[in-house]
Amino acid sequence: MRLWRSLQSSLRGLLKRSATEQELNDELQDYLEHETKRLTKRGLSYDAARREALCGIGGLEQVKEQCRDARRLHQVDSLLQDSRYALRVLRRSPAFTLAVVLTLAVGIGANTAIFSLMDAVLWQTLPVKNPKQLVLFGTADGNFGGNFAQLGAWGAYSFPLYQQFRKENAYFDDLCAFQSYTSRLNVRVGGAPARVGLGKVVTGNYFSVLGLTSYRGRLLNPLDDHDSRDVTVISYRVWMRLFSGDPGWIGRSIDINGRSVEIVGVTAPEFFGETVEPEPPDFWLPLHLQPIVMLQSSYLDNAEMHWLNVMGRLKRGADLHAALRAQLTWSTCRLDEGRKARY
Amino acid sequence: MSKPNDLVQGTLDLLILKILALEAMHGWAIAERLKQMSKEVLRVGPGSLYPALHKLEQAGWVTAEWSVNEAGRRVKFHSITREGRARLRHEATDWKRLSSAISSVVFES
Repeated sequence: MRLWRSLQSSLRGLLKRSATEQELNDELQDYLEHETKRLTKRGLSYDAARREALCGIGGLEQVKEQCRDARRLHQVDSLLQDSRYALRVLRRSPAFTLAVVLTLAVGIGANTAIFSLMDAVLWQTLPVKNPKQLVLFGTADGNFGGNFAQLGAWGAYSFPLYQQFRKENAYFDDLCAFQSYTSRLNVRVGGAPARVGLGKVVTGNYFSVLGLTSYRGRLLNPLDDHDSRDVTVISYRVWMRLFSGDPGWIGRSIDINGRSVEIVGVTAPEFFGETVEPEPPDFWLPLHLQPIVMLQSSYLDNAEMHWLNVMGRLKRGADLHAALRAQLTWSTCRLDEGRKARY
Repeated sequence: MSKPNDLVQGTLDLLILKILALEAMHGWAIAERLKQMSKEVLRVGPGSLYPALHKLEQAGWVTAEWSVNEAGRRVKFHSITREGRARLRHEATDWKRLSSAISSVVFES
């Protein structure tokens, strides 16, 4: 109701400019009247008093104009004024304000949430084959594995443990491993100054477990691991950005962290890595290049260093939870035993 | 009658707000009250007073209400708003600070 009244008065102010003029007039007439009365009390005749009062005012029109100026001056920064006024009105009716704010918040929030969900699940779904068969190893929520959609708390494993998993694997077509985070790389192309690129090392079968095909050239394969080849697969984005989408770069070498590495292929444009993340990797390199990529000593023989995520492609018809529980419990125990034996 | 610049810039707002904080009144009475309270030292003419009142009204520190007097003429009564009182406190503090600073410079012996 209050809001309606204030709206009405604002409308009145907009529509009836003449009313404001009339008010200005009445206001000054009132002043004139009072001043005249005061002067007559001093002994002046009404006319003389009136004349002197008018003189004192110094021009009725001038004063009116000054009043209009004062009002106009405020309309100049009326935007600020109006917002302040809006806030005042809103503060006076907290229930209404709350309802409006909640409506907007829920509306915007719901839109954002739905959009984020659609973005992550629908539009950024990885171009992998049969994603339902893909299993990430982890111990979050007491489960030994997660569906592909459950991103986040995946377990990190050492390379020896991954090898153990792989050796004793009975439920998966294949297992692969990849660096659990992206590294910042110094990338030098030709004689150009070094630029920062994001990359990670992956096992040679990483792309085949995901079921990906290359956009240009080839993807990594187990032979890259076996022969310790210094090669890299680059993302479509970086191929366009750094190499202007020139297929001539495939087979040529670039410098990554001081090591000359051959570009063997480009991933599909829609591939952003196995994880939906704000800064996806652009360079994938075989596992043996880990010391180069991380600028660290080799982690490959280190059972204490848990730096790999493990992903497997489940065999058709295998029971996910039973399979994982059986395999992981067993493998982990075996590894612990092995570790104990060494100490 | 004093000219507007007889008063330090901005102090008229402070004076009007103070007077209205004591009692709601119409324009002429404000001028009279100022004269009386300042022992005839401060005077404000309509050429300064009314624009200032309109400004204060636009700023939301003063509201105006129309009533009809005994003679049947419309009279505009000004009163201070809650925001106006807050503004008054703020400006009074500022003035105290400023005037004591000026005094301490001018009367430095």
